[in-house]
Amino acid sequence: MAVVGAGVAGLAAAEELARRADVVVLDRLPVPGGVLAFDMPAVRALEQACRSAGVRWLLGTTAVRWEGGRLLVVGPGGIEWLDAAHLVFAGGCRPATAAELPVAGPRLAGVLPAPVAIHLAEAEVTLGRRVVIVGTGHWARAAREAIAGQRSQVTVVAPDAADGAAFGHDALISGWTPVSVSGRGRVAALTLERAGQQHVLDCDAVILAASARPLRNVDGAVFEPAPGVTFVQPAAESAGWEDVASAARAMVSKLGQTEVGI
Amino acid sequence: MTRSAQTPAFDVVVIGGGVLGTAVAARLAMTTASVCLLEEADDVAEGASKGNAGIATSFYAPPGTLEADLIARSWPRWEDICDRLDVPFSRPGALTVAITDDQTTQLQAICDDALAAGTRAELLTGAQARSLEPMLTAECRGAVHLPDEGLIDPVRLTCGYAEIAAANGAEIRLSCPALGFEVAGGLLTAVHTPDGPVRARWVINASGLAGGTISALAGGEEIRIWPRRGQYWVLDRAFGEKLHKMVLPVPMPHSRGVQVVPTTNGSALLGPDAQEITDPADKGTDPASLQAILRLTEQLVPEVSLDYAIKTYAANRAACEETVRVRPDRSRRNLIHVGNRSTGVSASPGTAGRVLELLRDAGFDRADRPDPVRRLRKVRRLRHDPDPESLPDADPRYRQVVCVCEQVTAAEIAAAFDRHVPPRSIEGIRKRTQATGGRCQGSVCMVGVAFLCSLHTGMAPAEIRHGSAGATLGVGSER
Repeated sequence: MAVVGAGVAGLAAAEELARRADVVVLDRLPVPGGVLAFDMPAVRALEQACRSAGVRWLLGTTAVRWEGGRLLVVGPGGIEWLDAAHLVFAGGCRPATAAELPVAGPRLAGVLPAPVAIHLAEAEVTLGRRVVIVGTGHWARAAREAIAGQRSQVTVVAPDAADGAAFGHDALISGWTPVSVSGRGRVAALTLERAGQQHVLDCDAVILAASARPLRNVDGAVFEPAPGVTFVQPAAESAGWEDVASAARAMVSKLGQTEVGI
Repeated sequence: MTRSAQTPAFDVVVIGGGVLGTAVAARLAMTTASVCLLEEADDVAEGASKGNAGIATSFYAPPGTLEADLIARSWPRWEDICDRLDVPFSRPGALTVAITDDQTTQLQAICDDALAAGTRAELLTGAQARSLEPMLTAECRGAVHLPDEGLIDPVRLTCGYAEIAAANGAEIRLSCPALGFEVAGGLLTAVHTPDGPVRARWVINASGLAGGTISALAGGEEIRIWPRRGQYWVLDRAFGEKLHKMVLPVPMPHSRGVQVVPTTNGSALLGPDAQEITDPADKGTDPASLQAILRLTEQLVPEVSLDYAIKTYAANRAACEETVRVRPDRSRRNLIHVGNRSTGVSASPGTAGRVLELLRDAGFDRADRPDPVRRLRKVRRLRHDPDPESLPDADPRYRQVVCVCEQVTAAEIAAAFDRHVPPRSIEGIRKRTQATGGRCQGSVCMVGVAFLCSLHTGMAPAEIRHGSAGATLGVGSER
């Protein structure tokens, strides 16, 4: 079996499956852990459990295409088709895109998916002076932390009125839905809507961090049902890693003997 | 003595780096003429040439019109042109679909016009149409099938024209707007730019929405051009790859109507609508129009769903009473206007040939070169290569996937930079490789793409531009 994704969900699924099948775990990063640090004790424990169970590793390797029974993988060793009876896809999650939210308007600089904003901030790129973070979950918190050292005025938009409060001194706008961005070249405003009313927020950066959804980027394993594929992406926004791991184990425990090739 | 008097004149200066300007430059550069192309933006294909559906049509205008002639001179050539310029192309054919009685009665005339224009066409019943395109609505009462309708990547086409022009010695000057003109004896002698005057014997005005402004600056005739905005949804290839045909409604007087069309990279487009606006720089989508497009396309293909939505975009066509313009100015005899409201991509090869004929009729004496560069090096792409396992032998950078959704490797991005007209921004890389343009819209790869952009251009990450409007990813650096 091929498990794509060496985050907590992928590792937990691999350990569970390795009791019954020959398992290889792939990840595009060269270390396990996914969004968590590879040296976190929880990750180390899961990795060790996988090793004990006989899991093989193909790290630094990107899976790009699933064609029932074989997986095209690209990595330091080259590009090859990997035979696998079944694909377990554990690609984690990402925030919704502008089209998915949906937020209309032109394509503008300064409108960034949270994972990109976080990496840029880590590279000491100042994202904006007036930053709006859309969302309040995992990605929003991570983005807020990443720009903590930047002297930016931050406003958090929480589409769900019940959300918010975890952002200290930031301005919080609850219960408003973002509907469009505007600007010339760079974003200059985000328009919000509530019950037919509009509110315009001036800004020079918008971080899209709302509505986490499964990240799917292997052709043939994008929409369900996908033949020969089990999706293991339980990471709801607020779930702790323990919940993700146990959910992942449960999701693969249902895989029958046909799938595991025994 | 002015600076322009010291610099040698180009035989031809083309203003505008859209599909028409680059096509003209590519054709003229295959003669012994010296050619310079001026583009205001920092990349080619930044106007309507970027934001269109990529239809290479075989039939659009009534027979006997200039537009029909230019299209007829173009459509049979696409397989050859796209093979030489490394541009994605296919010819799936189109169905013009009637749902109402009124539309059904128009089908025969559409079919007759298409046949008269010299393209293949057949009238189908609803059942016949659905056998060609099973996703078509059961409400389909009949359709005209146009089997020669093609799909093209209009951005890669424009880049290909610019590249072949440059390979044959044309100068491509980006971020170089035409600001004014020098005139002597009633003729244009130079174009003013921020880099100084560019002397010219002939000037081609292929500046799209700016065509009227350029004509006025040149002292030419008044041409009124205004922006007609079209909005689109892009749907995932999980939907687009199920489409066999382009699906079009019976056309309306001012537009071809809102369509469901596959693209050369597998995704599908819904759109465009047509809104008369005043600000040519306004390229925003709006929620109400996007909803309207969705409802109209659902009538044609009920399976259309926003579950597949990847992104939305808008672009402004250059609307004008004179829908197609390929002719000299009425007063400035060495100024040639080139413009097209709707079929610029489809008519581009024919338009380029027509411009050369006009020049030669007027005494332009540059013969075709015996051995011009006619073919660009093909870039192998992980997503489309029939033998992916052998790619790393050609370039080890194929082992590094940068954009997972679109399966774009570091080798393909490097190849985009190894050109006469390289990208200058994240958007420029997307236009040439699709990187950041997939399902996750750069969530996973935009940082990697920015890093490669930094590596190839020497710019710091904070200086990397997102789009060619010049706006950077961030507003500065904490360093």
